[in-house]
Amino acid sequence: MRKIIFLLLFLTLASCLLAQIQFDIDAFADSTKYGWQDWRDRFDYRAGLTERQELLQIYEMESSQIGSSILKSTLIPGFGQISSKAGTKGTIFLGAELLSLGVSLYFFDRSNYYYNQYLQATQIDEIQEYYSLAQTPRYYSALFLALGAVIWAYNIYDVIQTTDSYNAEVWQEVLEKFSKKTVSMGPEGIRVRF
Amino acid sequence: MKTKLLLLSLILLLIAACSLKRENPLDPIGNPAIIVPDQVSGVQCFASGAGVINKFVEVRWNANPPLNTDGYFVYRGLAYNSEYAVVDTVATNICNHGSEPWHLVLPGDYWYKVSAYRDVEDGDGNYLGRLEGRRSEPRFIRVPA
Repeated sequence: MRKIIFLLLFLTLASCLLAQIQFDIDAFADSTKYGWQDWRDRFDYRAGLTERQELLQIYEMESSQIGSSILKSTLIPGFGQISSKAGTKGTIFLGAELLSLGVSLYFFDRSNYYYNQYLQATQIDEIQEYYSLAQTPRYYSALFLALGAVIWAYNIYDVIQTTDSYNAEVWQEVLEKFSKKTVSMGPEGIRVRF
Repeated sequence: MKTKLLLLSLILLLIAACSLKRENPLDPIGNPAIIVPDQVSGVQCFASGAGVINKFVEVRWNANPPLNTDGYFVYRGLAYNSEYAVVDTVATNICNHGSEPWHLVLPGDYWYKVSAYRDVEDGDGNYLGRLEGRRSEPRFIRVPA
C-alpha cells in the first residue's frame, strides 16, 4: 500500500517538474510579442489604454441606452427620440400619434352616437339611415387607429436608428474633445499634449 | 405589387373587422324573419267646410294587407319639408282628425303623411317592438275658417 502511495506521489512530482521545464519564462516575459520594443512602448500602451477607458466612461455617461430609448418610445411615442436629443423628430412622432388617436376617438364617438340612435330607431328608414351614419365614422375610426399603430411601430423602429446615430455622434464628440485637450490630469500626474 | 395587395388585404380585413353588428331587434337585415309593413299609398285628405265650428280633416288611404300591417300612424306638418308629428294612431285606413277632444285642428294649411306599423314578436312570442314602415308622400290640405 505504501509503495503505491509513494509511486503516485512520485508521478505527481515528476509531472509538475516536467510542466515547469516546459513553461518558457523568457517567452512569457517577452514584451515584443505585443509589439513593444522596450519599457517605453509598454508605458505608452498602458497610457493609451487608460485614456480609452476614460473616454469610454465619458461616453457611457453621455450616450443613450438603446433599451431605455425603446421603452420610452414604446410608452410615449417620440419620448425616446427626445431623450436622444432629436427633439423635432420626437415632437413630430408624438404629435402625429396624438392626432391620429384623437381623430380616431372623435370618429368612434360619432359612430357610437349614431349607433345608439340606430338601436333605438323603430322606423324602417331611420333604422337604415342611422346604421349607415354609424358605419362610416366607424371605418374612419379604425383607419386612423391603424394609422396610429403604424406611426407607433415606425417610431420604435426609428428610435433604434436615432439612438445609434446619437451615440455615434457622442463618441465622435468625446474623441474630438479629448484630442483638443492639451493638458490633462491623471493618477500618474499632469500631462501636457503638444 | 405584392406589397400593394398585402396592404389592400389588410385594409379590407380591417374594414370587415370593424363592421357594426345589426343588434336592433327590429332591423329586417339583422333579423330576416321580420316582415316590414308596406308603404302606404293613395292618401287623400278632405277638410271640413267653411263655417263649421268643430274643424276636422278626414284622411283616407289604401289599406295594406293585414299580414304586414297592424295599424297606421297619421302625421301632420306645417310645410312639405317641415317636421311632422304623429297626430293619430288608427287601426283602419280612415282617420278623422278632429273627432277627438285632444285633436287640435285650426283653420290653415297642413300636410299629412301616413305610415303603417306592425307589432313584432320573436319566435317565442316575446314582444320586440313596433316596427314602422316607410311613410307616404305628404298630402296637402287647406282647412277653411
